Amino acid sequence: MSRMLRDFPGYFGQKFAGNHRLDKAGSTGGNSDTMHISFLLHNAYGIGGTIRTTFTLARTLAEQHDVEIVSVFRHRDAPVLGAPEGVTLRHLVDLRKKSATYDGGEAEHARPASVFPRGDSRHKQYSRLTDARIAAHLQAVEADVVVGTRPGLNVHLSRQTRRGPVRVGQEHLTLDSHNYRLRREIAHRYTLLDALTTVTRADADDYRNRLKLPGVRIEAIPNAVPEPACPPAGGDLKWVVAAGRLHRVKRYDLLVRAFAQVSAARPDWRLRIYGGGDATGDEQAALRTLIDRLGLHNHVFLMGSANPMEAEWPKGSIAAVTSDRESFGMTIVEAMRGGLPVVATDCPHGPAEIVEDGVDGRLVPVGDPDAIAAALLQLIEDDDLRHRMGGAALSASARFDPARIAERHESLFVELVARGAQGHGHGALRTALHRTRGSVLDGAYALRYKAADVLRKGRAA
Amino acid sequence: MTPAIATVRADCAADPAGTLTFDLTVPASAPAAVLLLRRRGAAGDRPGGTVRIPLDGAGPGRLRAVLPASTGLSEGRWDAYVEEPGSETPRTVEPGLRDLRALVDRSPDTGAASVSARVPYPTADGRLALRCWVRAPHAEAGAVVVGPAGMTVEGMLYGVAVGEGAAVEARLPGDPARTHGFPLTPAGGPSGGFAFTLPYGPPAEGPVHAAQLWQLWLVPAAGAAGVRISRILDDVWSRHKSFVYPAREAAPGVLATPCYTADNDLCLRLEPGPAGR
Repeated sequence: MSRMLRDFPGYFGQKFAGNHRLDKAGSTGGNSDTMHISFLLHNAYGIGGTIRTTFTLARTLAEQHDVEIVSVFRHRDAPVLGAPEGVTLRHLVDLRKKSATYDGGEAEHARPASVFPRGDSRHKQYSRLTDARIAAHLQAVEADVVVGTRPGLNVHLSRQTRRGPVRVGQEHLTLDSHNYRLRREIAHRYTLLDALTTVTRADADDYRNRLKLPGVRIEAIPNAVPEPACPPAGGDLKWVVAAGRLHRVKRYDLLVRAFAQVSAARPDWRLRIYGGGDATGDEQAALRTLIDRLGLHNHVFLMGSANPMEAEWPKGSIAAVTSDRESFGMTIVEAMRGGLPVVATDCPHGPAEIVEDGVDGRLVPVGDPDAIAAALLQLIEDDDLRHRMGGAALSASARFDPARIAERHESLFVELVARGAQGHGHGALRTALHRTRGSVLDGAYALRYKAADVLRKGRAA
Repeated sequence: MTPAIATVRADCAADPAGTLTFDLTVPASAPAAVLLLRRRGAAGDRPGGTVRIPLDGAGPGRLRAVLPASTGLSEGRWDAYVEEPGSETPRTVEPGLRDLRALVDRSPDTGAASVSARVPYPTADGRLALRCWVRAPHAEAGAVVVGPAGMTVEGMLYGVAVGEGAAVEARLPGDPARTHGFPLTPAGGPSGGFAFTLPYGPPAEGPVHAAQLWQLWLVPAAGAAGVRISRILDDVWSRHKSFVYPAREAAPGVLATPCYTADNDLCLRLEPGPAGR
């Protein structure tokens, strides 16, 4: 952020945040650009892509800013994924049965939520109690920026946040993965957000084209993946690696079918699929049957889940992601950061924004085992090509480094905080203001003007 | 946030020579702390049941222990602890990143008198442990081809050569009378290779009222001691759930399935099963 702010003369050296907290310890003395950022997360104590991504972003932002994660629910003492360093973690509703502050027995917790939208798949877990606790939190929140991390919470943000903080909604899935009811609710409620971030440009375009959200800044910022702690793959071990929960949408059946062709041509190459099955075990059983039927039990292995996956990628030399849909394509980036070229289906929404076909991996048509097999064999048969693409994958994926991704969120936050200080409220006038803002906001002059406003507001607070 | 209990986390790396390196992240380390490996169960109390490896500074908050292949660890499961002088109970170690790529597809010299394998792994309750094998000689299983009436296995023999009368034996533990032997088939490929086909029929002749786990042994020559057939030369510390083979009907109402145990020994499982499957 500092780089950006320094571009505006007269700005550098001013306290930015509205609420005057202590500067981040350890920063280069009297850091003046510290913002207070408050994430609202469904449950920071579980396991999941959104939790992992939020932790990574929060931890990275916390190197310069005051960052807290407010978890709506808490069902265990410690977060499974490990508390992100430097980040304050607190909860609103305690679901630990043995806890002295257990909230699960509250009468209000038995009544269905009215603020949290019914269209959000987590609605059943929310209640009048969460309506009230989240409202109280958002009314009192001392932050420059509040960030919601799922549609239901973004709706809370837009309806309940006190005047002042910038409201940023994050979409970790995609607009088209939401049901009609949720899409309608989003269209109605998101108008009071300052910004919405998606993880792909394709999804950002969907939001821009399919919903009318005047004045809401819509920006695509991909998920961050840290550099692995182990060296990149050597590219010579004769294994293809795939990873992700065993679910139909991942289309491992296509990959297994493709591998029948691969192992017929190159029996020295084998495939490891990492990932746990769901509670039913249906998909795992179906894959097992397919492997047996194709006689691939010496070539295709269901390895179960691996944590961390980081150390498993370099046991292979090619990665495969053959999903029908991806909201982002996290495993593609993970594999690339491990130095593996990825053969991925060109499915909505992420892969084409991550893989450059023929340069750092291959994109193949969705649902086509022949094309998957051909792409895998191309990389198997040509050692030079495989090594070259692996190297390209390694360098290209550096753009997903947490520092670089956090910088993009940071720039957005800075800009919004500056702009939000214009003094407008979140009300009926808002839409009209947004409509005219484009012409009002004009380069450095406007931003400086707004920054001064931030200062005044900060003192008054 | 400071966790309530100070945990020690260890990243492990294996090199091609069989050396394991443990890099520990320690919140606050006492001087002269050591990495203690203790064999699980009563064996840990007997001589040779513990090994102590010095921990040396490897940067701020980092300590390193190196376990060379030459340090003897008997076959079994070994739990890792950090032992600090003045502290009564050693601290358990949490598994971090396990970089075991050097263990994938190992092919040691078949002339070696003994073969050992050590795979760091996370226990079910989230602690770091080592699975160790020491075999002299050793029969390493490779591909298992499942035919309609039997299983064909290819593998490599270490520390002993195949001679006259070499055979595979299926043995039912606890019932020495029930042993079925079949001659090896000539193996193509590199020296040290072996191959056999084990027909399901003979073991399935006896009554199969409950699941039976038949162990597979390679007898290198007539009258020689049997060598347990296992698969230990990679990074998979327990392959019974990942290296899975299809079942065939070995006799009416009896299903036969090649399988591995949790300790990576190759077996034939017979169990009552639906006829006509």
